[in-house]
Amino acid sequence: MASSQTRLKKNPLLVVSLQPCCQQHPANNAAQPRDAQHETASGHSGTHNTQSSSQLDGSRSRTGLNSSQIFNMGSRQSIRSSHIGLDKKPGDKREGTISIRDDDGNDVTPQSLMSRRIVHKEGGGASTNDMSMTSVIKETVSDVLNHLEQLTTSSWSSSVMSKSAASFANSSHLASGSESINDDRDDESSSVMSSESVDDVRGHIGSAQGTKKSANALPGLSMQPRAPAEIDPNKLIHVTLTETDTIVLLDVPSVCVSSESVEEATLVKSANAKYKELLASRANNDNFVGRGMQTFDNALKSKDIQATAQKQASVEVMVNQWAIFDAYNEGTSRIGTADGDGTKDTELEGLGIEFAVAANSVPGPAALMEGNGSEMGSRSMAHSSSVFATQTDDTGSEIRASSSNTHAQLEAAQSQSQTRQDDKDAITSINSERLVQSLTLMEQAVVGNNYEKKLISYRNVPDAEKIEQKRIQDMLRALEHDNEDNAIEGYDREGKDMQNMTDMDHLNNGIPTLQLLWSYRCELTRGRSVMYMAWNKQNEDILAVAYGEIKPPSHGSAPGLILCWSVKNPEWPERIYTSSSPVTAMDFSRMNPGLLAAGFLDGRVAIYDVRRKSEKPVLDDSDMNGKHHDPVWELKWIERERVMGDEHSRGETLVSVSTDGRVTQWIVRKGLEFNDLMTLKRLTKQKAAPAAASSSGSGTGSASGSGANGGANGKSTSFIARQTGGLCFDFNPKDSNIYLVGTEDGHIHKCSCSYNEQYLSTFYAHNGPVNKVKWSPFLAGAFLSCSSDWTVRLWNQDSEEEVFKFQSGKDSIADIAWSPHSSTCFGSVSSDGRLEIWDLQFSVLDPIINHNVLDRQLTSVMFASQSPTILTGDDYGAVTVYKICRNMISEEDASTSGIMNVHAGMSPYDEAVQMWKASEAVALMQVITEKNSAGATSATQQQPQSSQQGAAPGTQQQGASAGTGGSG
Amino acid sequence: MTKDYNDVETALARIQAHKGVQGIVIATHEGSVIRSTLDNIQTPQISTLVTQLASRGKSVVRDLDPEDELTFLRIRSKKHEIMVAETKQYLLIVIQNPHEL
Repeated sequence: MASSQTRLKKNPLLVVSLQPCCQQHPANNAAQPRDAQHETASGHSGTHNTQSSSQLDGSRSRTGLNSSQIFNMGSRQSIRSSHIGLDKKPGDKREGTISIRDDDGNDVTPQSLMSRRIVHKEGGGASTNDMSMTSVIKETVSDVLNHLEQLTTSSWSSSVMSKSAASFANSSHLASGSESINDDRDDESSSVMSSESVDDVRGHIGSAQGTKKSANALPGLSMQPRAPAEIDPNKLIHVTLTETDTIVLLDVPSVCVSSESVEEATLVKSANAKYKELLASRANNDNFVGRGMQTFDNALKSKDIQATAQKQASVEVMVNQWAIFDAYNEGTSRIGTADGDGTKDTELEGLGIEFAVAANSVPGPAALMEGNGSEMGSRSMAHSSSVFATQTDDTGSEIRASSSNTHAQLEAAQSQSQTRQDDKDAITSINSERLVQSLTLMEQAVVGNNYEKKLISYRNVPDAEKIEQKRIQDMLRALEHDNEDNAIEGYDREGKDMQNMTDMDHLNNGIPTLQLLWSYRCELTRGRSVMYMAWNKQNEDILAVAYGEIKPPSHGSAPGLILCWSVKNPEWPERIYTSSSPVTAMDFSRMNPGLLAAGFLDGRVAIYDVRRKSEKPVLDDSDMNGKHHDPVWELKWIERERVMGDEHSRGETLVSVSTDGRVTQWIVRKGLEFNDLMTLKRLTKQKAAPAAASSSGSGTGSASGSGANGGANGKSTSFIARQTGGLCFDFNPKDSNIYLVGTEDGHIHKCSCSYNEQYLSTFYAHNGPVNKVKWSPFLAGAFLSCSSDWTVRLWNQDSEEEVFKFQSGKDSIADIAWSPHSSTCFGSVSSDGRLEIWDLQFSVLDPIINHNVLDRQLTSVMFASQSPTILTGDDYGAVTVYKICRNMISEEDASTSGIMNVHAGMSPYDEAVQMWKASEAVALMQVITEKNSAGATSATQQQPQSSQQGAAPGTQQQGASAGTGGSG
Repeated sequence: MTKDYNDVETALARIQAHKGVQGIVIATHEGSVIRSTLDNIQTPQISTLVTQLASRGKSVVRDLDPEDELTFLRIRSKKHEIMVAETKQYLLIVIQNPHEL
């Protein structure tokens, strides 16, 4: 095919030269088979052929077959046999006995046709007649050759045509004689005949020298008739023309069958179907030949490849319920925040935090790490990564590579964190807030261990050992009881006796004693004095203590300090607030138990939120107009109407009193808002005293009148300051509009929130500054006051004169407190370190407990409402907790503790508590009325005594003795 | 940070100063020690054993109620009380002898 194509390309150039070649070539082609097979017939005339063909008439079909064979051979052997023709024929001619074989081993040796030659010669005369035929055939040959030239475009067709041309040529040679062909080959082959004819030809066409061979050949052909003509012109030739069978050179029958002819169509269709079936079944084999084949055995080759060993790791994970729970929660949360995570990932990548990205690429468990931050404990990280590694080990090396990358990164991060942890200051790397929290917890636990017994005692939990002892005592007493029938009758006698007894005797006889539990103190409180104490209203385990430095500050620390102590840790406070000035007053809010109001020595009022750890107050009035100019001495949250007469506006307000003479109400809204409840005007005692004397029996109405009078008559005496400093106040527990204010002058003013100009009444009580005023929590009209004039006085609000005056020491009384458990009990502390607990039911002359603290000034006192304890604050920064042990009589102990439990467990408005309170109030009332009735005669004498003799200590002692006489 | 750190340090010092406290160990959940006041023999012993116990205890608490959390663990023995405050990151272990006077 390729060759034909090249030939095709060269065609334009080769047209000229090719034409003769082509003309010759078929001739050659034709000659070769003829040479090979019918060489000797080369000189034969067509007549012979026709004859022979006529002879062979009966076997015509066979000849056709033969010729077709020849054609086939010819096409195959065309080139080869040309060589044979060229190389071997000369030898063939010379020797004549050599057998020629083609590649297939067929004998193609030319056979002698000598005998036929004769025939040929006999038929030589006919060759003249052949002339016309030859000419005709020549034309046809040339036509065919022309065709052939045109048809070289297709190799197949060319080959076919060449064959046909060969056959034509063959037949033409057969018909026209072999001379012309032999002429063509005269140069090489030298057959006798040929040489002769060549000589002739040369003679003929000497003038035509230089012309092409084809031109030679044609004249050669045209000359051929001459040669036979020489044979015998005279011989009569009979030409018999017979019609030969139609020779079909190429018959390609149509495979199309008309569908009208049903039979054929069905046949064809069935054949097609069969064929299709065959194709379908033997798709790859067109020949459909079953053949056994012996094939080579596949060569076996053994090949060793060295690969890296697979890493194996075994991981055991124990899963329990909570782990599943965590994983589930995590999964749901991850689903919820899937979008967020995605953006987060990109952010992290953007930041180039490789570790985090690696962590994100680890599926599943790594999410846990994300959640907990990169500093999370390294165990779960290691865990997850190892699990991941094993998983990927199974799946494939490619993934393993990536996983080992992440693994390595994780390990690197891990080792980083490890080294950090190894650092000495590793403690800073962990969440110190949580650490502080757990340290606080731990400290409480440790301290709790140490204070275990005391805490039990504080909680008033009955001690099993003591109960047992008590039971034995009871049994013993029961035995003795028979002897002492009149134990109760003897009570009074005993009481009188007890006055003469020493403290030790009291103790032995079951008088309540104080038991030191512990002190709230730490290094922060050293050198500071306790200014104020306040319980948290909701949780009485929390105690806020205000500290100030009354002594000049020894070091540069902030002078003011508020500590919030918890009963769980008496050795370190829970909260520490420092301030620039000493704290003088404090109170916890009842409605918002987390709010702690504090008043300062510089007049500031601030509110802290103890729920927060920050040291800054949440509210501060330091930049307000209504700020006090002088120290705030008392500060309380009062639950009352903010606007007069409007019940709905009931809320908590903050009330403060200061030495600048103002009682101010602070309303906590967005900030602090203030309005003055009262401006404390100074009253003269000289004016007031007669007024008091005149209106001693008449009561409140005239008392307010006297106050007004005092104000009106004040012109006669001039004051340096028109206002008096308030030191303390207390709101009536029943009526929150009524309050008492104690002043520096020693007066106690009863005021109402409704009138901010006038006092309701004034008690010219003390000869020194009134340090504290306290309403009785049980009896509505009674209140206590203490003063620097060494006395504590009990008042009834209806009376201008005090009911009782208590004095046992020779120093100012700094603080007083009513007992929340018993209406007749109160405690007081003095600057010389005395803690006194009075029980009016027991004695109005002497305290039932007198506890001396050496070298300390006691500054404040407070009862605990939920435990039988009393707290004192001293000037050395310690808040000491005492337990009041009531060992007097077992029955009483049981009853009080029972009451206390009731009181602790129920709301103050509960019925049982109300009843108890009422009974307690009655008890106090009885004490007061008893005194009034018993001392009615001596009262007139006693009162002038006390008022005239003033603050002289000696006479006070006298007054006390007079009081004793009165009570007796 | 430094303030917190100081708080931590002072709190540690206070706890150590309390009566009967024999040692404080802060360890991770894996048992690696962050801070210890005990000697080199006792520290690893305590950190490994107590963390195991604490994780077991945590597991118990969480198994009973998955939303619950172990925060504190006390073991009272004849000689000592071992107290463990547990957080997510670490354990705070204190050994105290409450009978010591």
